Amino acid sequence: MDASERQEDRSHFDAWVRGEPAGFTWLYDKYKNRVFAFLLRMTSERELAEDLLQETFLAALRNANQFDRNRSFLSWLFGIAHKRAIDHFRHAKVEHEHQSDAEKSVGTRIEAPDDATSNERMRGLVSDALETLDPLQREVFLLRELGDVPFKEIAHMMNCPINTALGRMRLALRNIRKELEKRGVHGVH
Amino acid sequence: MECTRWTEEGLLYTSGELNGSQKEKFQRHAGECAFCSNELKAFHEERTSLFTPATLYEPTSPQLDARITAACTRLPRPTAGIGLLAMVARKGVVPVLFLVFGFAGGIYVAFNLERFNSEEIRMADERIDQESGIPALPENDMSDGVLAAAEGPSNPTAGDSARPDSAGGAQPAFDAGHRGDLRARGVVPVDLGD
Ligand SMILES: [Zn+2]
Repeated sequence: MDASERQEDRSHFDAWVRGEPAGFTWLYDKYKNRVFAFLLRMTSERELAEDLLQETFLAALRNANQFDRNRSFLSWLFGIAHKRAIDHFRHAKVEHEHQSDAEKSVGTRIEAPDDATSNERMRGLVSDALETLDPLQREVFLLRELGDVPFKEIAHMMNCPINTALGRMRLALRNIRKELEKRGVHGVH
Repeated sequence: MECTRWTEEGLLYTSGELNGSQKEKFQRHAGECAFCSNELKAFHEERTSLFTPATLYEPTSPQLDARITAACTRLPRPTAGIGLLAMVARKGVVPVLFLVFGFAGGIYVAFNLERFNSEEIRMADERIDQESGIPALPENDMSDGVLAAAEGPSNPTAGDSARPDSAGGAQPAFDAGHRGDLRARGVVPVDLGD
């Protein structure tokens, strides 16, 4: 994300905070599918992910004065979404890190129809590969690839050293490749 | 063989978190290290063909969009002008202010009640005096004048004997008139023969 795109996000956010609905619509349309994908993969429950998506955008508005103008709006939004998801698990006393992959995959699997196009097929394959990941590896991968969150911020969000976050990303990439190769998708290796 | 610099520097390079000199240093290393060079190339290809919006993003429903848009763009209500009052009322400050002012008012009244009462009495006395035609007397004359006049009719003898000036010629008009009135009703004063 370049500087001009960040500036554009910030000006739309300012408009939204001033009460201009167009500012919200612009940001929501741009980022809703990324944040929703993150929340859906984190929670495995569509209805819950929908509620958390609403809470995330409302919290962004409520805490507008806490937005660091030097940061990317998307990273900040993902920080809020991540916190909402983690808080939910804490309140629900769900040890999501220790849930089995089978349990985690319920409701998040994206089924590709038999006559799926190449894109839909690939979508299903990537989704399957993500579901086989260790939840902490998946968390780092999603924050990085969906939220464009820097590793330094990921480490802060996950309360771990930056090398731990980097190690989880390395393992996530390696495991996704392995899973895709099992399903006949081969990369450069 | 796996190179540790990929994890330590390569991933930070891909996320744009290396500064100018760190970036150059890793680029030089990747030019010489097959592992890092391969990882860099693979990750770039995965990002352009596998980790794309089409495979990673999740669409939201129109119902959800409408719900969230309504919640996030709700315009201020017409009662926004009394928002502060509403906020204060919600936080229970109004009852507290009510109690504080009520208490302060109570203390003020309590401290001034005595003054109010004496003022009222003085004004009432003046009113009575004006209506009865008796001039207001200084406070030290109360026992000799007004008080004696009031006691006079019920105990005229005691009143006459008790007051040294009553034996003299300077009888108050009220006293003389009143005695005449008593005689007319058949009441004769006892002459003590002083
Ligand atoms: Zn290397």
